[in-house]
Amino acid sequence: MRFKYDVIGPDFEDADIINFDFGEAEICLRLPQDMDKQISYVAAWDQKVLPAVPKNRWDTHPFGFRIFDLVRQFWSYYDETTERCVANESFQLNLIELPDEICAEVNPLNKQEFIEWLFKFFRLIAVRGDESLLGSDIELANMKAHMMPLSIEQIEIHHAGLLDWPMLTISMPYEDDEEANAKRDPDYFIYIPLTERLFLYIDQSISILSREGNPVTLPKADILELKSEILSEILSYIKVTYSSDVLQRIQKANQ
Amino acid sequence: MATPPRNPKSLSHLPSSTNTFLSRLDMKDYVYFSENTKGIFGKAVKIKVDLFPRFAALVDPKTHAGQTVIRQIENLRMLNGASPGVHANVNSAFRFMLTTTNMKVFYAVLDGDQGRKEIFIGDIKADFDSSGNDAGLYVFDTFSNKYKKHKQVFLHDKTVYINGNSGNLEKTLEYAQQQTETSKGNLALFYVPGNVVNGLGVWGSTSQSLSVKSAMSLLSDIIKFNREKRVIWVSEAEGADVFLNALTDVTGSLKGHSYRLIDPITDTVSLLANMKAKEIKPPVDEVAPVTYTGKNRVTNLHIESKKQAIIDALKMLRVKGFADFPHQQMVKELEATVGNAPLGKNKQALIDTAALNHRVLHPKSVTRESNKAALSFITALQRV
Repeated sequence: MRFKYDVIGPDFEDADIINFDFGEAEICLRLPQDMDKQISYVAAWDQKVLPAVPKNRWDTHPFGFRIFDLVRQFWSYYDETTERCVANESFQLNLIELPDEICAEVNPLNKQEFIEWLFKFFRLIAVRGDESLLGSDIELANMKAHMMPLSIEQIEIHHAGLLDWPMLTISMPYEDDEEANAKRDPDYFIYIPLTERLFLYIDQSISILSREGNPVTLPKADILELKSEILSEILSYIKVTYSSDVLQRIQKANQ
Repeated sequence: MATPPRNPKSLSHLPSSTNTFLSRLDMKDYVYFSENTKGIFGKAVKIKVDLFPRFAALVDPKTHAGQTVIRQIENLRMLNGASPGVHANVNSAFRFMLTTTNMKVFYAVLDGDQGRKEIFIGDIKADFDSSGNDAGLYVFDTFSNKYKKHKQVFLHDKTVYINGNSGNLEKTLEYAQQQTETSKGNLALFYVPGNVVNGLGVWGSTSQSLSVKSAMSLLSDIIKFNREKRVIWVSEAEGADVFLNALTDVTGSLKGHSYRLIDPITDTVSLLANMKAKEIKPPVDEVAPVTYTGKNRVTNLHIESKKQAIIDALKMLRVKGFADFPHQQMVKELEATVGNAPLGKNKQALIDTAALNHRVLHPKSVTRESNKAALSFITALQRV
């Protein structure tokens, strides 16, 4: 695809098609390949039975849910005239499996419940799980430092048909480096509900490249616009298919 | 997206700052860049023979990326100062810089030996990409599932991967996980961005830039902070050079620390000696603490002239009981290629070509002509 400023990216129509089957839902996405170096990871197609034995490709989050790596893929965007790389995309797709305790708190198929739970989850990340700090100045300062949305209304939504995909921003702050902190743009965590127990999240970041003595001269607003266009294209090639049972449960949960 | 810098660096490494021609003595250091740049179409493009090893490390003619760079340089015969990627030196006429996908090419347009203008490439510098992330230590944060940069943190029982030229932070993190086969929670990355790799001595840089010094200093401080801990340092490619430089600033013992080197691009013999002096040993279960995979083209070229010394150092590791059967096999494979030095042989062929092209003919009235059938830089590169 061609973007503004003579930036060209991969052709998603020619990209590899990847599927994952979670039993009651499936996801289909397209993954361009890196022209320079092939560093990627793609998990097995069949995800109906999740592994029980700990391996390098899954972790248990401190809040109790399990996170499985499904995809790690990288590709680049180029300046059409000079053929120099101008941006790198890092695309990570992960599966989250909720334990019974959290399932009792939230149903990912309920749009409102899900977004409220995600917002609280981010607030807890900001205070490293210490619930006593919720509502404190420390929480607010940490959320700002992590470039997180400060209210549910600030959460961006990708409308994907029946269910919304909340897009929450995050950026890890640097210690004692105001200059570097000011330069940051947030990455997106995009959440895709699958069932009452499972949902996906995409960790998406685009880094704009620079070189000594040859800085990128785009204003920050233009960089953000370019990033937004790239993200829109990626999301437009992701399709989720639900079983008829799940479709009924989605309707019921959102009545 | 990029604009030319206002004041490109001086191109003083080229033979003359004011003259529009090269002396015959200087001209004998140059050969034609490729078969397509011998002046039949457009200006002839010539390049200094001394640049051959660095150019060979930066450009693999078998890849799309390498062919792109070669094409960009060949196109200099048609370009002018206003062409994309070309930056004119505002302080010196006839001198320019071309930015390609992974290097800067410094050249001058001067009178050639036929009285026509020719392009003389006098220097090249590595110019790898740098993403927005600075050099430093990145440790996995379990709450956000992201890596966070730390100045000082305890790394007890962690594996710290120090990368070579490998792209942006996220890509390097994934690569580190694959190379070390370590879970994210036990892995930390000392990230070396492209602008730091560019400034390393192994890429021909003669003076350390602020970003290089800063990266070395950060790593030294982290090593000192973790002196009493058990840390496994895995250095790959140019990362080994960063590790060596950081270690030289650390005094005393680092007993309990261990190491693994993958395709190191540094003075490996010195690094092994330095680690031995500081009591850094391979992990007890390591079968090949120093691995030459043969897959890293830059490493393969870099070790060519020092192979025997490296083999001797690797044999010592085996004698000390730090390496197992795979290590011995690798040493045997390296020994089998000791006499095979395509880089050195082809550089010598280019030196001979340049000398023949520009030999002094008698009587003086005989017109000298460049031998357009002579070996070109790229033809020699294709043999490496």
